[in-house]
Amino acid sequence: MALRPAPDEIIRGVQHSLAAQIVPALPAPYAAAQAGYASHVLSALLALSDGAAQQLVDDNAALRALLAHAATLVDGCAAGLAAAGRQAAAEQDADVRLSTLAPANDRLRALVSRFVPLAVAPDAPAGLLTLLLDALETSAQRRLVGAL
Amino acid sequence: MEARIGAFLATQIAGARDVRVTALRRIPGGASRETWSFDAAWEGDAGPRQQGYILRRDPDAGLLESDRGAEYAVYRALEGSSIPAPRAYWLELDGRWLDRPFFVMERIDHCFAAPAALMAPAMHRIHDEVGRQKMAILGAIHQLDWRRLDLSALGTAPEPAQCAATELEKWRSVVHKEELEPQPVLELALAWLGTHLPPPPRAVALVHGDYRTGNFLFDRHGTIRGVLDWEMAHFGDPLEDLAWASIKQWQYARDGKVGGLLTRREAIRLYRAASGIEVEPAAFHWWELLGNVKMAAIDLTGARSFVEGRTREVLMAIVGRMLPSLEVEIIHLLRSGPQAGEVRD
Repeated sequence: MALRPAPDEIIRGVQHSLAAQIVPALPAPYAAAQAGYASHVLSALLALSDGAAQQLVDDNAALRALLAHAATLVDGCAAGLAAAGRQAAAEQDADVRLSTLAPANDRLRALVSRFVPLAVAPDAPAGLLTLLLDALETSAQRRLVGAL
Repeated sequence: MEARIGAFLATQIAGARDVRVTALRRIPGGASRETWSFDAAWEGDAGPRQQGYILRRDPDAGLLESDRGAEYAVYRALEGSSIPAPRAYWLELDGRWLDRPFFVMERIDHCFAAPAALMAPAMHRIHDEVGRQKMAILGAIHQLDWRRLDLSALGTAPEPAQCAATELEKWRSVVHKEELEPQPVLELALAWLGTHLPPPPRAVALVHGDYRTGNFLFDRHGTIRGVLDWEMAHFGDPLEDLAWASIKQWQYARDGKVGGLLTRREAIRLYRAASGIEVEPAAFHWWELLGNVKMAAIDLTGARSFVEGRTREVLMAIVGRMLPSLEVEIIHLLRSGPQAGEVRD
């Protein structure tokens, strides 16, 4: 560790101070509520502080796997979308900066959204809806770390 | 700010002289508008007077953009009805008084609204009674003959067959306007809802729009003294309110109970008895799913306000990070289907 206290240690300390010392001492209900919310936010950020990049790396990999599988299911009815899905599935994250991973995650999620109308159509490709539900549930569960 | 409120009151209270505003404090709650409590005292024709008030002022930005005029109109229309609600006194759209529009209403003292207060162990003894009243009042709201009330501020009522589609389009629009990143789970839910519209209600009702634990005042004895936060009120399918009250977000005790008070089965039984309205499971499921999408849309609105710097309310930072848990619930509802609507406790 290059410099202490580390970011997570700072967040933990500030969060504890807010919750244990500042909130109980605030007489104004509105201010106490704001400080309480701030403590709550810090606890979530603490949970995420060490794993934010890994969370996106994992999510992007899972979304690419989803797109590769979904592409095989829609090949017969939406060839263009299938090709886009395969192309996105073949890409890789250039690095592990959040500023690289997050836009890639947005692009992948936007592409997943394009499969949605096919999944709920009366003549939906077999298995597509279940595939989306399974993958998106796993993604949501993954993002619960650092959520509130 | 006390002096500015006092100056306003002096123009509104007939014959009032020497208006003094004290104990002004901002209070939590009603996140779409600033909520302020204050005491006012003045000399009137019949001698000294004093009263407690609540002032609701438009925020810089908030959880949702709503029409304060419509909310005020509902409070006014309910005056004298069987629905307990604070009396609304004045609506002011001119920013010269307090910079932004606001309205002033009665403060009902010796009551609580916060879910945390109701969930405190000392309050468990009143849960059954509060839950019973909560459902009875909801039934009464839906039994109101709204055509006899002055609710023109809410606009034209939809036909029964249009209620679901109207609300779906409203919240689809909010999601697409406010989202900061692609939302495939919400897209999936919106698409499913669009292809599985529920049967229409027998009659269009006044829908509160945010009927839940946290939006009514109750006292220590378990009496509900006032239903609050009518800013999302509209005409529509009454099941919308029942389903919204039941969504997981409001299950404060994390035990599946509606609003932390009643099992789902009991809540629906009480609602049926109070309203005379049958609760069709497929329709209830549809409205519960839409309720979760609506919750997500409201959270997205707050998150965008925070990210764009239009508000520094810390709550707005929190709501944006609630999306994953809503997504999990939405997927659960998409998987479980309509048969789960009525009996899932």
